[in-house]
Amino acid sequence: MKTKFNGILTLLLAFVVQLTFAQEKTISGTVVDETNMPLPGATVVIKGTTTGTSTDFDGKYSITTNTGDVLTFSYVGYSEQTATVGAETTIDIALALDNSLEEVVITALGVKRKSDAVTSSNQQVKAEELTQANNPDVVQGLAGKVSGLQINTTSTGLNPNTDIILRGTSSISGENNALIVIDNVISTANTLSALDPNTIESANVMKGASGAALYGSRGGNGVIIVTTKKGSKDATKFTVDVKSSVTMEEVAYLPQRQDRFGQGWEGDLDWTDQGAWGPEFDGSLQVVGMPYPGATDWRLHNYNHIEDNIKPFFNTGVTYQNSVSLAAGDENGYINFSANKQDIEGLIPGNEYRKDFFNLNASKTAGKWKVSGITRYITSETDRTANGTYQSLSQTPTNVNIEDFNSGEFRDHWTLYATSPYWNLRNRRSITQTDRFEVQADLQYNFNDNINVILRSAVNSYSYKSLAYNNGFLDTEQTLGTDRSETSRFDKDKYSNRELYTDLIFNFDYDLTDDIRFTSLVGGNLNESSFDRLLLGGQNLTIPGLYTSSNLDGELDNRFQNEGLERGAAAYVAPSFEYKDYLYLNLTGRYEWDSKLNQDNRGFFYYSGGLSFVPTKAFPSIKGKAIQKLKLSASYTTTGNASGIDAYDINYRASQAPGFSHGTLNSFIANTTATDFNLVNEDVFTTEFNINADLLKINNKSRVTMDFAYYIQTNENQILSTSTSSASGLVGATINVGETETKGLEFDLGLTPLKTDDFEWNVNLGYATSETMVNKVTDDATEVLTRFYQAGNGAQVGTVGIYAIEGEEFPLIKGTAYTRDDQGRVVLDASGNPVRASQLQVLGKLTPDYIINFGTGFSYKSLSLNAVLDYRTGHSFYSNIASNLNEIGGTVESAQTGREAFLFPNSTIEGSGVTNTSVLTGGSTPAQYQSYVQRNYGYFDENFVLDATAVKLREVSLTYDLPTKLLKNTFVNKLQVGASGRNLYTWLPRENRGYNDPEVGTGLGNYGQTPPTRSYTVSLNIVF
Amino acid sequence: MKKIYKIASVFLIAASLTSCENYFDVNTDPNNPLVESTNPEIVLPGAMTTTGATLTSRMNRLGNLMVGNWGGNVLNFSGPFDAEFKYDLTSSFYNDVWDNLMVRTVNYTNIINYSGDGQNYNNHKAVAQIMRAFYFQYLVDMYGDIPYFGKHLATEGLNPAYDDAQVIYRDLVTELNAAIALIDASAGSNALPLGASDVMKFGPGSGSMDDWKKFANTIKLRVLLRQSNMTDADTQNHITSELAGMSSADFVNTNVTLNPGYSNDSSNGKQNPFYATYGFATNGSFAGTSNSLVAPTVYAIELLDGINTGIQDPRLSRLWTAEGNPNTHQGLEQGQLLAGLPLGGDTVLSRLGAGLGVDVASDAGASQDAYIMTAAEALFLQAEAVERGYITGASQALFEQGIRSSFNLLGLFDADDLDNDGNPDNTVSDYITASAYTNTLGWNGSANKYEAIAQQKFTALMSINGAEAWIEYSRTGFPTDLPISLTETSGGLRPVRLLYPASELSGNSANVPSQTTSTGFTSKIFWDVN
Repeated sequence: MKTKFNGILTLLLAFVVQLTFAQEKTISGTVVDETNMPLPGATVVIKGTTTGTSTDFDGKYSITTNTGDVLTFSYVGYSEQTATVGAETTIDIALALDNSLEEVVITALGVKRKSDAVTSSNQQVKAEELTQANNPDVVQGLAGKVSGLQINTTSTGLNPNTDIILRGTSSISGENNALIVIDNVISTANTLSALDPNTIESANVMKGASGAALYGSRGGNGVIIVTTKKGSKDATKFTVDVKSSVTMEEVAYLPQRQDRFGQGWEGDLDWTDQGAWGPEFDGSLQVVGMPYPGATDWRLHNYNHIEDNIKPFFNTGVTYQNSVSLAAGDENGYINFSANKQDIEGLIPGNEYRKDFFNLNASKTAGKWKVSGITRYITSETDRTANGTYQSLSQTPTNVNIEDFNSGEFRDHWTLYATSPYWNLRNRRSITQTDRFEVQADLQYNFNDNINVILRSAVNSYSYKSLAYNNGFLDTEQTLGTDRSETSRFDKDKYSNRELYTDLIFNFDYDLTDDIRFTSLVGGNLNESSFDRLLLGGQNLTIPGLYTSSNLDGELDNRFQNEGLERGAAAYVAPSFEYKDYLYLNLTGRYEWDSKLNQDNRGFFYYSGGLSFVPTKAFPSIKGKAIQKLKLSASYTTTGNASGIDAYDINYRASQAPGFSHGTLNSFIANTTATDFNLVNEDVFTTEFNINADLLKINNKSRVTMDFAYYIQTNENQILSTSTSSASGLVGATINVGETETKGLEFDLGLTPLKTDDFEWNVNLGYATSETMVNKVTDDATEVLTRFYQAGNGAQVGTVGIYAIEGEEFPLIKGTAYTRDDQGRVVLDASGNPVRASQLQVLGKLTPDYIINFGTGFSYKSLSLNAVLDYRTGHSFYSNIASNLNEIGGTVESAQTGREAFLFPNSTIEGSGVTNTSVLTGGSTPAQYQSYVQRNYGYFDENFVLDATAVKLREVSLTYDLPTKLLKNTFVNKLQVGASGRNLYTWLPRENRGYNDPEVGTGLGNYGQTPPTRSYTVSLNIVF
Repeated sequence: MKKIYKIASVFLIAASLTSCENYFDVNTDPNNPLVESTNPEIVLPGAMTTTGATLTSRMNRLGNLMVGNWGGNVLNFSGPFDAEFKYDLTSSFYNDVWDNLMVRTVNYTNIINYSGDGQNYNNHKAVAQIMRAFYFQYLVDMYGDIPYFGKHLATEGLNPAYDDAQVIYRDLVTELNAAIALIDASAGSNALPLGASDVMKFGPGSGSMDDWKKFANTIKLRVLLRQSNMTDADTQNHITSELAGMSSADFVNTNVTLNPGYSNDSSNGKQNPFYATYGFATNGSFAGTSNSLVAPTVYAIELLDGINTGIQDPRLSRLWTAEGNPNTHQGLEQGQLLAGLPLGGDTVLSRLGAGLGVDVASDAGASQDAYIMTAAEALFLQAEAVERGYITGASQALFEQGIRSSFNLLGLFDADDLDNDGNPDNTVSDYITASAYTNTLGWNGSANKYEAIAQQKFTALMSINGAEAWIEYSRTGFPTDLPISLTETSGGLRPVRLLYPASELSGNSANVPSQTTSTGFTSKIFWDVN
């Protein structure tokens, strides 16, 4: 309303002005927009005067002026342009859309705010940026594009899981994931991953907590607000957008292996073994693996190192994506239908993933009512081999030519002590089908210009069913007396959940005075989440390949049922005040109830306050070419959070004792983990300062943008699931612990070094750093283990773990370390073995010193080239792969001394006080050396904590739009072809010999389903 | 008017969704019972079986390896028991023993503290107190100082302080006395009988509360005897004063075994835990078990085959299978490699034998009783106590009864007629008679009766309770000729304790005492004064 009124006023003014002051020379011309469409009603004013005119319906104007005068052309929503009157009589002007000035962002609960009015740090990621490299996963498409945002893949393979972490890991509890909000309803990262990236309009990454304060308990770690596309602006016909792409994926790198020793044990050749503890390679012909196909068909091979010998196992993965969307709309409504099909043939032969996606968005405004709705259905099927394929492959001695063993027959294998990965491909699989159905309706009623009410309700349901099976094998040969029989089994798992989410929001908008505008929302929320899970399984199938409970020789051994229900509610208010167009005050308050906590702790309150000031609008005189825009903002936010626990957790519960029931005798015993009954919500307090500036305006474009944010965040009463002293009767407990303080800053620099009519070069540089200090752990402990490797039963494996230690940075890796004397020399015992101390030592930290994001884009006419790269350094990770390879004699380090005794560098013999120059380490026989590597070197976690520095070229994309000229007489409006690559290049430091992508596994690097990959895509996009 | 209806409907929808009183009271778990509502009858069977499984499988294995009884089957595995034979003590070495015992004994504590449903569970509570003391003795014997007085507080005490081993030992006696007193006080009261919840057997059947008293006395005797070599006045006074109260005490003379109803169902964990670990899966394969991992040491064979003593012990063929052609009992050294064995088709190694019930896939083996304390051990304890003057009785008779009981346990009886000649074989009596005058084996021939008792106890515990054998070896120093592993990396020292587990280093770092590897070889448990 306001802007419209201003426009009319200006017009009127201009009209009056024109009548009054007529001058000598007449200039005429046309004002058009970026797409050469005429702009009617644009204002043309002689600079320094009040003389002006406006354009007619064809964008034409004429104005009488003097040579040397400067004409200013302006139009609402477009950047102002100037032209100096010379000898000419015609001045045609094309105005460019001005995004920076009136940019509107969608903030919490769907409230649209001018970016000036937002008081905490946020960064918009546009649809094109998300999809430029055709990443099928929206979440991964965000990687490297927002400073302070880390996308950590927690698994690799067909449908990888990711952690979305904003501003580092400040919470000890590990609940560091940002909240995902899709179309104003709280959702999950999994749902976001499941969306078709092409349906996304924009993603607003609200880094600061104040944007999140209204989302309450789950918003403490920042929010990513995703909005899907809402129709087109043309009601007369449907815009049809078709996009297709094909992606090829290949293994990027494999762990480097030692190239001197092959299959064997303790220095002897052993064709049955998995270990690479054999003699040195000599090229001689040797038996490899078991005889096949006949019992005497021994296979002989030259005993030599084969580089990356397991690579031939992997395929080139192929991903097909096809999307189509139909959109139409006008100011009273829109409709948008989209469908997407994704087909992935995985890196591992036979692995497949298929996803179908349907989305319908529609809205209609009629009178004072507005109704909009979203319906979404996503179904997927994953068919893949069981976990562990890559792990078992990686242990293959390097002299084994694995393609010789690819028949898939059980007997056809290179070792007696594992099943063949080729056999596993067909006989150990899991098939999962998921269905996600989401319905959302927004009902809005405008009472008048000042008050409206919105009722927003969503029902999201998700279910999966999976079948995992192992086929059996009866070993009748029993080579060397080893029974290699495999037991058949199957497990079926059915899960469904349902989320109900309702907001009722009243919006108020009043001009208190001419200069002060007051807006506020007052509302409430109800939410409910429930799930139901049933599992059953058993072993020894009577009829092979029939996976049903009746087909078992015996009873089911996996019977599990679990259901859960939790409810929450909230009441909230968010008043804001605007003074003129340059001073904003935002306040929020939210009271929340959470059924997971006990009655006394169930309700909690948090609030935020933020102030933003735009000097370039308050003092227009400072605005000029050098400084186009300047914005300062600060905010203070508190949020609460009880997301670290599930429903019922606060009860100390019992479970059926293992092995029971025996006949009619049943027994229940205490669970080995428990949650403090008096647990309270976590509190997060954030103070934040931001500076945003647009600088150096040349040819209507700010060539430099700068965004700076500094924040201090304190987390208290964190909900942590920690491992405890078993003497407590628990192996793990969830308790409130500690206090951490995080300080961080983010700096984003946007540059346009070159811009001509045809050519533009943009550079984005993001720098983010944060440091979290632990101020307190608990009343009676100064450190706590927050994460460790888990065995199947949840028990801790090994000694390495992630810790929070009072007075130290968080998170830290602790594990076994060499005993060193005061001069830093490694202490050896009399036989040359490093001495073990049982206390664990700090071996590294998980948070990088800083992360640099670098993005650049070149466009020449309709050709554009974009690249995204990032660099993280200063942190470490523990490589379980390195440790595993050490155990089997596969690491370069395990062969470095030729597997002979060596002088341990910078060492001292215990008690001697002098540097060791004579006592050798490693023993005198191959057996002793192997023992040294496995039991001594392998004991020290320190040896496997590696530099996590990485440079990743995440995306490179090239797109070409067919010039509109060529399409003029066709029904096609746009035709774009593209080629892109993802993760094309990764640089790792020397000590990480390709073991792990350090960002996979967040600090404790393990095997995924596959090694790290890179991929190449070609795509085609047609709009008509 | 229409408009008003529309607006009103919006609010009605909203109002219908707003909270009613019980909206948030949905936090009662529909899947699991609460600890506070599971009564002792429900808890006791699970408490006994989970702790018993640790004793009979993992602790048994640890002990048998530490005393040189078990070797590794190198025919089927490369480097079997590698860490054990290297005495590779770390915080991960058998850390599950600590974790399982500490965590599962909480169920005894929960029984003792139970105050639900108004029933009198004093019998259950006494039994829980006895069993908890039984396992905490082992924890002290293997680890020394441990968290004790602050244990089992769940979320109320996640970082319990360490207590002095000797102080804990005194408290174990106090606990056992209290349990006995509780049993006495409950007789004739409204205390619920143990009924089906007592899965422990004394001899062939379930025990009475009198049997539990006997068991408590026997454990108490074991606690006191463990300290018998300590000469300080305080310990001696303690032993004397406790014995004074035991003048009329009865002790266990039967096998104390556990059987909640074990059956041959490996995938549901219903098998006897020793059989499940060292026997066969339900389908008869030994895939997934350690069946083929264990072989006897040369020492274990020679101890029984008479090559050194001239006394052939019939228990040999019950403890280990005879293999090959001709059938022989074949062992190897701990840490010995395949390369060190004679090669060829007839290279064989014995396996765990029929007396242990794990030699063949059988329902009987899978459903057999699990040994918590054998009659032999209890009898040898009594024999030693008599010999030391702690209690009254006939030490030689108890000693010989102990041997007899060990034979019986392995399936050897005087009445057997294995040679089918129509006459009983007198297997046990013949052995006792033949060995009577042999030093270290027989009563009469042994100058040091304690050594004879220790030696016979060692044999009786073989593959049945290895942990007890290891602990008793530390206490007594017998057998004197125990071999050391070939691959040891400790300078010829045998471990005398386990190191504190990883869970303590990470979960109780402020309290756990600092240890290095050498602690495990040189820092003896307080009662170990050898």
